[in-house]
Amino acid sequence: MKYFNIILFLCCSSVVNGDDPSESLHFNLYYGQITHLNGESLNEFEQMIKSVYQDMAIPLEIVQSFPATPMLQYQVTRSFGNMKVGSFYAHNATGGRLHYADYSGSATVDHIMDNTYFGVNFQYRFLHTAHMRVFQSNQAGILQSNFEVTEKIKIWDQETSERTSFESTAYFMEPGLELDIVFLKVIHLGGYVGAKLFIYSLPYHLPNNKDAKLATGYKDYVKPDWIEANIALKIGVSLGKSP
Amino acid sequence: MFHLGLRDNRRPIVYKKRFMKKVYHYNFILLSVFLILFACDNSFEPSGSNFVVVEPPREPLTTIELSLQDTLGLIVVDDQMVISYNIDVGDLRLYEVHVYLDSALIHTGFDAQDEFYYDPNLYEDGLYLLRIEFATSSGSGSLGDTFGAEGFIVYHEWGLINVTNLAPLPIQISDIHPENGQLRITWESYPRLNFLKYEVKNRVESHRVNQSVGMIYSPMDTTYIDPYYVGGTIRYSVDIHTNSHVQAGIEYTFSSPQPNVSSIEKLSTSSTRVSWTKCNYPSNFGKYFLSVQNFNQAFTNINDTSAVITHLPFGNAVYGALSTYPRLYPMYPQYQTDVEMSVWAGDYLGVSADKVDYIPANDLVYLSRKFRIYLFDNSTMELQTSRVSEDLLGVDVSANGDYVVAHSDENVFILDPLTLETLQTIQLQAICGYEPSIQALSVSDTGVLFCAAFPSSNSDQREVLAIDLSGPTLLDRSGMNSPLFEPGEMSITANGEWLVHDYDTFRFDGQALSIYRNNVNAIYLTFLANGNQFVYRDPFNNTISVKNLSNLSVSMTKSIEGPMSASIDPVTGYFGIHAINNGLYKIFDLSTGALLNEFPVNIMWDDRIALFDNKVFSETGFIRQAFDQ
Repeated sequence: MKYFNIILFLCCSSVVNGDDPSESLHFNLYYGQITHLNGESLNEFEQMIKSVYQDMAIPLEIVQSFPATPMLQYQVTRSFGNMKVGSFYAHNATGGRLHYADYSGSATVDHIMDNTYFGVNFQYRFLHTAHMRVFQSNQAGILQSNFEVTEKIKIWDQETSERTSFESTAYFMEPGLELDIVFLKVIHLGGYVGAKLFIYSLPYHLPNNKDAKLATGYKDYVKPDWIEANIALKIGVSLGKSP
Repeated sequence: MFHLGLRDNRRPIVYKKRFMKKVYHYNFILLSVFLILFACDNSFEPSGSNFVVVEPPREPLTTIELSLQDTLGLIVVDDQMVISYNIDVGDLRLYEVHVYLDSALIHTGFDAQDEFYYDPNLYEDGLYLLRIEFATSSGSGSLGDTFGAEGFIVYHEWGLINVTNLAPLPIQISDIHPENGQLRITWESYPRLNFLKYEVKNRVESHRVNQSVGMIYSPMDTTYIDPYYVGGTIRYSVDIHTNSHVQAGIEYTFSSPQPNVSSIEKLSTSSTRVSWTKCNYPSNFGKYFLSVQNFNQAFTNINDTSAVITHLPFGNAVYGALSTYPRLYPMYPQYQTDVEMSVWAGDYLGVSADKVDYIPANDLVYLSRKFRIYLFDNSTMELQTSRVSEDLLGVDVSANGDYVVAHSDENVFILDPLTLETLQTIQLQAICGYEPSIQALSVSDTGVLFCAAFPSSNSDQREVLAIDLSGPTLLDRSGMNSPLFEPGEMSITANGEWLVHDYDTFRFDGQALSIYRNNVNAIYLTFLANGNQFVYRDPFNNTISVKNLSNLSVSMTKSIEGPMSASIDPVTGYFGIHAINNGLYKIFDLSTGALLNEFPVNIMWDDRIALFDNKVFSETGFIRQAFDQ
C-alpha cells in the first residue's frame, strides 16, 4: 500500500506539473488521527464473535476495538481565487482483537479494517492574513474498505489459523476546517479538523461473492456505518502564483 | 538545511536565495515528498492480550461399575453375554472408552454408559486382564481442556477368567477294573475351565435307562469306585456338565459273573435244593436273597450259596429269583441283581392237556387238548406217540380203549388207538342232514358215538346224535333245542347207557335217547368207573356234588370257596378238588369223605387237575403221585 501511495502521488504530481504562473498548485500531505464514532454494526460484530466463543467455553475478551489510528492523506488542489478544487487520496487502517490465553494456549480473533478513500475536495478561504489562511473544506468520495478477520488458536504447540476477508464500498461527505500557515510563500503548515459522514454504504461481503454478506443477525449486515472524526496536521507546498 | 541557515546569521540573503533555488527545484521537492512518504506508514496490527490464570488440573476421581460381579478383582465369564459399564467422571467430560482384553482392543465407545458383547468362545480358556481405559477432560477450564487437548487417561483393570462354553467332547472311560472287592472306573479328565461336574452313570443289564450314581465336582478327580456293583453286565458312562451343556459320555460295558443259580436239585416231590455261585465283590456284597413262591430268605454270609426249598406247589413251574444286594442296597435298590429260576414239584411231562382218558385195561393214557393228542405208557409215563393237527378239535376214548374218535368242525375221525392215525372219516352232514358244526362227542365201549352238533347256520340250536360207528348209521337224535347255556362237556358211561351233556342227561337204551333235565350247570364232569355216579361242579352254589345215575339224586355235596376243578379217579375212587382260595389240592375218599392228602398247587383258576390211577395230572403238564398208599 505504501508503494502504491507513493506511485499514485508521483503520478498526480506529474499531471499537475508545470509552470503555471497565473494559478497556484498545491500539494498537501495530511497526517492525523481518525477516530471511529458510533460504529454500531462493527461493535455488534465484535460482540457476536465474543459470544460465539464464549458459547464454546472460550472466554474471549475484547482487548482492542477499533482504536484511533493514523490517517495519511494526499491532496492536490488548484486555487481559483478564494476557492480550491482538487482531489485526494487517503488511507487508514484500524481493527481490533479478541483474545484469551492461559497456560495451555491462546485464542485470538484479529480483525483489520483497511480503508482507502479517494474523491474530490472543495475549499473556500474565508479568512486570511499575510501568513495564515482559514478554509472551509468539503470532501466527497468513495471508501473502499477491506475487512479481514483472522482466527488463530494455539494449543500447546499446535496452532491453527483461518483468515477471511470481506470488502465493502461506501460513499461519504466530509466537512471540515483547515488552518494554513505559509512559510516562505511556498511552504504550508497547518491543521485540519473534519468529520466524515457516510451517506451510503454496502455490507461487507466476500470478495468473489457479493451475496455472501457479513451479518450479525437476520439482515443485520456489518457495513461502514460509523462517523469518523479526523484531526490532522498538514504540510504542503504551493507552486506557481500565490493567491 | 535549516541548521545551516540558522548558523549563518551574517549572510541571510545569500542563504535565502540559494535555498529558494533549491526549493523551486522541482526534483528536490519530489525527493522530499518521497522521503516523507517513506517515513509515513499507517498500517495496523492488532495488539493486546487477555491472559487468565487458570488452576492446573487435579487428578480426577472416577469410578466405573461393571455389570459383572467380581470377587477380589476377578470376574468369570463363561457364557456369551453383554457386558455393560457405567463410568462416573464427575463434572469432567468423557471422550472415549477403550476396552482391552490383554492387548487386544475389543470395544470402543464414547458414552459413559455403554455395553459390549463378549463371546468367551473367541478366546482360549485362561486368565486375562480386562482393561477399560478412557480419556477425560482435565476439568481445569483451560483452553487445552476446552479443546480436548488436555485431560487424563484413566483405566480400571480386572482379572478376567475366560471360560469357553463350547459343547464338550464326550468323556471317554479309560479303564474299568475290579479293585479290592469293588469296581474302579477311571476316565480322562476334562481339560477346560467350564467344568461343572462329572456325572457317573451306569445301566445294569436289566434296566433300560441310565441311572446317575455319582457326582464329582473336581475336574482332576477322574475315578469312581462303584460301591454297589456285585456282578453282571453293566454299562458305565461319564457325563460332563458345563455351565451351558451336558454332554453324555460314551458307554463302556463291563461284564463279570454275577451270583448265578448253578444247580436245582430235586429232593422230593415238593422240595428242591437251589445252589448258586459266590459273589466276586465281597466289599460291595450285602446279601443274597432267595425268593421262591412263599419261600423268602436272606443270606448275609457271602459263602452261603445254597438253600433247600420245601412245600413247592404242584401244577405249575414256580419262578423264583436269586437276588444279590449290595451292601448299600437300601439307598440304591436298583443295584439288586436278580437271577430268575424255575423250580417245581412233581415231574414235568413236557406236554399240556386238559383231558385225560386213562385206559386201565391197556395201561395207556391219552392226554389231549385242542389240536393235539398224546399217548403215554401209564407205567413208565413214556410218550408212545402223538399227533398234532389243526383238525383235531376234540378227542374221546372209549373206556375199554377200543375206540378213539376225534372231530373237526364237520367230520368225525376214527383213529387207530395205538398209532393215532385216521382209520375212517365220517362226514356228519350225510347223517344229520344239515351242514353241522360239531361241538362235542363221546364214544361208548359198544361203538356208539354220541355227537353234539348244531347247524352252522344257526348256532342257537343244538342236538345230540346217537350214531352206530359200524355203519355209520344214525340211531336216534334228541331233536333241536335251544340251550340256555353254551354247550360244554359231554361224557358217557362205559356201557353207553348214560350220557351227561352240560345240564342235560340222556339215557340210551341201545336204540333211542331219553332226555332228563339236570337243572344244573354241570361242568368238570367225571363218571365213576362203576358207571353209577358222576361228579360235577355246580358253579351257582359253589359246590362239588356227586349224583347217582339211577335216580339222578345227589349223594354228596361239598361246599368249597372258589371251587376250581374236581375229578374222580376211576380206579381208586379218590375224589380230588382244587379250591383256589387256599391254594391247596385236596384228595378225599369218596366213600367216607375222609381227607386223604393235600398239597399246594400253583395253577391258574381255569386250570384242570385230573386224577387217574393215583396220579395227579395238571393241565400244564405236571404229574405226581396223588396219595402214598
